[in-house]
Amino acid sequence: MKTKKTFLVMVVFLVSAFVCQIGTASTLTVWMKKGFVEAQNTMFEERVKEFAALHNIDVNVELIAYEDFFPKWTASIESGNLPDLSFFGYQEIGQFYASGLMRDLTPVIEKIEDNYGSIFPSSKKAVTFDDKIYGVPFWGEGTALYYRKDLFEGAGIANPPNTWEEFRDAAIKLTNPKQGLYGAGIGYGAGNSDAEWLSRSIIWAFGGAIFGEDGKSVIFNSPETREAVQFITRLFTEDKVTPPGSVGWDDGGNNTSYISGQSAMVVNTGSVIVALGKDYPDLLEKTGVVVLPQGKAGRFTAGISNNLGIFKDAPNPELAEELLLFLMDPEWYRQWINVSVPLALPVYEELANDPIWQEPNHKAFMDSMKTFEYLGYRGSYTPAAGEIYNLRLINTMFEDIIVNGKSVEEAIVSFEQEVSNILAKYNR
Amino acid sequence: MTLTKSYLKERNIFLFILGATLVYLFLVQGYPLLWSVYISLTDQRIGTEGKIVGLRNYLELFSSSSFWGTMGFTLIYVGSTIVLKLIWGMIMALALNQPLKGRNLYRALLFLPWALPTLTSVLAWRWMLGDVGGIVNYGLLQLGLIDRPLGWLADPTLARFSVILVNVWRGAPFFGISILSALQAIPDYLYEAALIDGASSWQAFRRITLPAIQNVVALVTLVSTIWTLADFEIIWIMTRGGPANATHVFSTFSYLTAFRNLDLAKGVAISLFMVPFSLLLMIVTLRFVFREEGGA
Repeated sequence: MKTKKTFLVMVVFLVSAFVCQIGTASTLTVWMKKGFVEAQNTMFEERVKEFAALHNIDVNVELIAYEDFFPKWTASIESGNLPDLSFFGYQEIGQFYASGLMRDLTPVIEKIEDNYGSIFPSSKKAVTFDDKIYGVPFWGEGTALYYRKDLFEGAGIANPPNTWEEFRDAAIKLTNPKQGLYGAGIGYGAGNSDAEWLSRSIIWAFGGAIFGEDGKSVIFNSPETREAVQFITRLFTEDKVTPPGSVGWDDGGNNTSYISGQSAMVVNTGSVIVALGKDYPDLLEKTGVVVLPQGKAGRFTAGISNNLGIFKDAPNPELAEELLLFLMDPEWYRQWINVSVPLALPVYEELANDPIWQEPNHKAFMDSMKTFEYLGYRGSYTPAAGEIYNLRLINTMFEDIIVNGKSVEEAIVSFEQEVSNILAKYNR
Repeated sequence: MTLTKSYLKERNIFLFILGATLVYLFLVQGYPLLWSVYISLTDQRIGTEGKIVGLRNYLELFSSSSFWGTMGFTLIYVGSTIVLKLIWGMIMALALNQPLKGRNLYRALLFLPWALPTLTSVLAWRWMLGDVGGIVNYGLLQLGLIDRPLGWLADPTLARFSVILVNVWRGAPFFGISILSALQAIPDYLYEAALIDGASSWQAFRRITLPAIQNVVALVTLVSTIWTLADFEIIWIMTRGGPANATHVFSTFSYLTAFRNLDLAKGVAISLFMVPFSLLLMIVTLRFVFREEGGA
């Protein structure tokens, strides 16, 4: 009899504990992109833990390399075991939005702007669909042209290139294969997202584009695009100003090439400055940084926008929204941005005026933001544009031309066909 | 009566084990396979409910040059690596079966590539083949064999060669060790008798060694073929299927389609193309194993 009573008490206790457990958000799961600057990773983790302590909850912060996000997201979506808050590039927000998976964060953005100040409209636009905002822009990444001042001087080139033609001329003058030196540290590769951004920046500068202003029509096969594609191709096949292994590069390829002294010019985010400042101060002294060259249609930079978002079926969305407000508090946010300067650009317009962005090696990255256009240009960003980026179709097109000898015309037609197929899928 | 009881008890245990095995096989093997076939007949994308579209995914794949390129390279990759691993493994085993000084050390070294974590060793290869600080290009330049670094992972032919090379380097020890163990089971007196009868080395190899190791060789080849068919890591780490999709195999192409493009149905359809090959190889392997057991 006594045993039965004890058993009953235990059952009641366990059931109560279970009910309490599901009644409260015991653990908040946060997936964040593992950044290049360790101090920034640590600061983020500590900030989330601070939030957890304030709310008396447990928190699980996972810092994940960008390449590993896709299997994590897809597995979590399919299993229903979703994180409460996650990092997303704007292109993924678009793709997941198209599948109806994202939570509308318009009210959160309104609160953030009311409390803390306005966010760059272009950053919000990249994650806005049907007038609703599905991600909180958390940081941007500017892109600039790095060049070796000493090598320019040695080659008698007075100024860094202001146009893409000047870039080509400088690359030819600087290239010396016998010394293992190449003027243009540009590469392509299946795992290379830098090349996707850069190719778009050049094509746009020449006046070409993938999409028309409606974001649905495909206008890639134009004289302007052809000129841009021929320009890039020529750097590899005729001028031979790119390193021999550059078609197999991943995202680290141009960083390594510049740091090792193989390339005299590369286009990259602030990650190279951070690496030079940390480990190669001599090379930093010899390095100049300017905004990307312009073409006849102007100066363009394919904008990179990093966001935090919440899946529609996330277990604790309200708490995750509170965490977003906590993370966007400018007092902490400014420190978090500045610890990685010039890699992470702030999303608050006010913070763009911070004196730190006027320093010579930082200014170009902030200035590049003024020339930002997003995937989907000349129209607004669309999930189809995100898919085309994620499939690295531009990379494949250039690889086909450069290594498989496909003609520029043929490659453009094939690319346009693939884009049309993807668009048709979204319109099905 | 006792005999009947004992028989019934034994039969019940047998039926229980059989039932449990069948349930296990259905849950672990059958259900996922059937689910995969079903998904491949839908238009399911990650996070959405799919609807049946029949063979549309397969028809789209058949009309895609990337798919046929993947199919072609998968066959080249599996065929060439298996042949090369077999030849290299055989040479290593025959050499290490000789009475050499420090033989155990060599044997341990032989096994090393297979024992190293794939990620570490393949990343090391990627670095060695790189055009910045890569030791392969450096060596060739120093020897005057090339006048500028080669794009080992940038040129389609060289990239294909590179991934095949790394697979052979990594997989040959498995062949070597397995064949070596079979070689050690051959009694010395057979070779002594052949020597007395005036047999040449080649004759001894053909008449004694080969028949003695052929079962192990066949089994190892079959198993390795199944593994190579499903290989993902080496290609993903080295080339991600590039350049220009030149080194895609079914597993990398399927991964890219399902996870990058979020096109779960098509990704699954691609991976299902491996099933007939794998199934055929498994049937051959099982028949082989049971024939051996029957023979014994």
